[in-house]
Amino acid sequence: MLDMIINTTKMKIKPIFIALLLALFSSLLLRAQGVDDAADKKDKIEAFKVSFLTQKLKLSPEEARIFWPVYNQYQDELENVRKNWKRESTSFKGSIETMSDKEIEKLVDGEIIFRQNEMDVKKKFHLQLKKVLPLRKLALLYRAEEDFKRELLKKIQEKAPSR
Amino acid sequence: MHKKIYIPLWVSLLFGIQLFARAGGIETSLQQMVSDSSPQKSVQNYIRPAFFLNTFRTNPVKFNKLGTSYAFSQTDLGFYVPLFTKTAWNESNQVYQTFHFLLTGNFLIARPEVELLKTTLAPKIFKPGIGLRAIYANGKKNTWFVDVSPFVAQDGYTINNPTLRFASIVLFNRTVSRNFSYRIGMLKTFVFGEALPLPILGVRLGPLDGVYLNVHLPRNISLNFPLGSHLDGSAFFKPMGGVYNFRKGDNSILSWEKGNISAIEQFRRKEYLSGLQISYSSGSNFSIYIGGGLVTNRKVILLSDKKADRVADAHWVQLDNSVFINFGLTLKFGEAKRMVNNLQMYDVFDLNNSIQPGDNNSSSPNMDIPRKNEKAADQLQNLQYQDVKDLFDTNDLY
Repeated sequence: MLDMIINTTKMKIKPIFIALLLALFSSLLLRAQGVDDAADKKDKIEAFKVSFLTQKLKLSPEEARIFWPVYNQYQDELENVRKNWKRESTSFKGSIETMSDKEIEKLVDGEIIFRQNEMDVKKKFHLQLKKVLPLRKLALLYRAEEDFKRELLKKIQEKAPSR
Repeated sequence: MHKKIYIPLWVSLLFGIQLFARAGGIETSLQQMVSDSSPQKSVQNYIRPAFFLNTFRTNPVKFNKLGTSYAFSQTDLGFYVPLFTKTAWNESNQVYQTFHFLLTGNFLIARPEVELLKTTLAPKIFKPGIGLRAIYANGKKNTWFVDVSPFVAQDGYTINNPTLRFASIVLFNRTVSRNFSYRIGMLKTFVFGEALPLPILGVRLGPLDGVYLNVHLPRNISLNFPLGSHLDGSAFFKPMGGVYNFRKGDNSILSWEKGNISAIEQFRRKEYLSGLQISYSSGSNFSIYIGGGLVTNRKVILLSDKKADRVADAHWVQLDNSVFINFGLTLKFGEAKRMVNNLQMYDVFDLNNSIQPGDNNSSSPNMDIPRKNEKAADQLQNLQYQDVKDLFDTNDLY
């Protein structure tokens, strides 16, 4: 009985090591093939945005300590509003010509509700950011956000094939 | 008798998997696949559910007391799952306070291997435990951390008569700056081969997203450094040990102290590990690591589980130094809230990762702390409008 237990344990250890090696190998293989999935791109865009804002705002260590948690929460809530609208809007099937009146009303009302929700989040965090940042830096932040979008558009246009 | 070990194990695992799924892992993904216009809950957690696996092994060394050799191996499977996370805006301090409540658990199989008895009475000891962890960050510089980890450490023959033990930590951490934090507290631990209440005193020097020294007494001292975009290294020194119950073998060779008459014995071990660990992280969801080094100042003791039956002159037996090797992997699931440049949250992650469940004094890499990536702009290849359209309003295109 004990021999069986001990031999079973030995057998179980080998699959663990094989599983670890397979996990490492497949992960390395995917990376070697240059698999740049959506999550990876999103991380890089986020990292680009963070370094861009850091460079533009030139916050002191104390300002940065207070600013970033508030800004992160702002971005989370904004993303949540946008994700909800995206799910709702993509759930509508067919084109405007083929949708029923009820569906169209839901779609157009939803667009306005989304805009309002987005503005509510922006207003809420505008008030919070006014308290944690000097006004000039808050203005710089809003400008930097717009500049960042332009930088992204430039990157997209740089890669677009010339006609 | 073995069913009594495995049934609670499977129940705990199934319970844990259900909780992790509800915490935002699998359930969120399934919701996204279904066409449903009901609003999706926003991401609540900073700490994501995680499963980790660790194996550890030493080479055989002479055990002169028994005239044989001794080695030790263990395999540890564990998890933590956030049960509840609360983020609240403190109007007077203008900060976001966070409270994290987690379920933790682990299942460890330990094997002290005495050569003569590999095929006879070498005990396989099971150490299941389930616990709770609470972390409160006040949004400024102070974090409180409490962990309670009850466990049993028994072989299959003594599982009907388990001894419940409690390991716990209460700790205060202050994030002074990006490059410095300190922590003080108390812990009750068995890693020194007995139940000891000890003070905690620790400092961190250097940024958690760079090269940093962690002195976290009495748990570990480590120097951590990035080796590339996906590789990290750590040189460490830490104690390891435990207290385990098993049935006294028919062969008296396991009870080298004369006079042990109890049917249940305690095997206690304590040793110090000095080593190097390299980890590879594939994104923020998966990490694998390998480590090795020296095991020094090794001591073991066998005692009767009943204090009254213990031999008065029982003493720790010194063993030769040896080498060790360990492998491990960590899997994390689901989405988390943003915490980039949130220095206090970085310390929360460091605390949570460096104190793994189960009082086994193991730790996992800080996969959740984003690295500084000043070349991110250059690394954005083949950027399409699809990748960024959520960031744009129609007006941005004019």
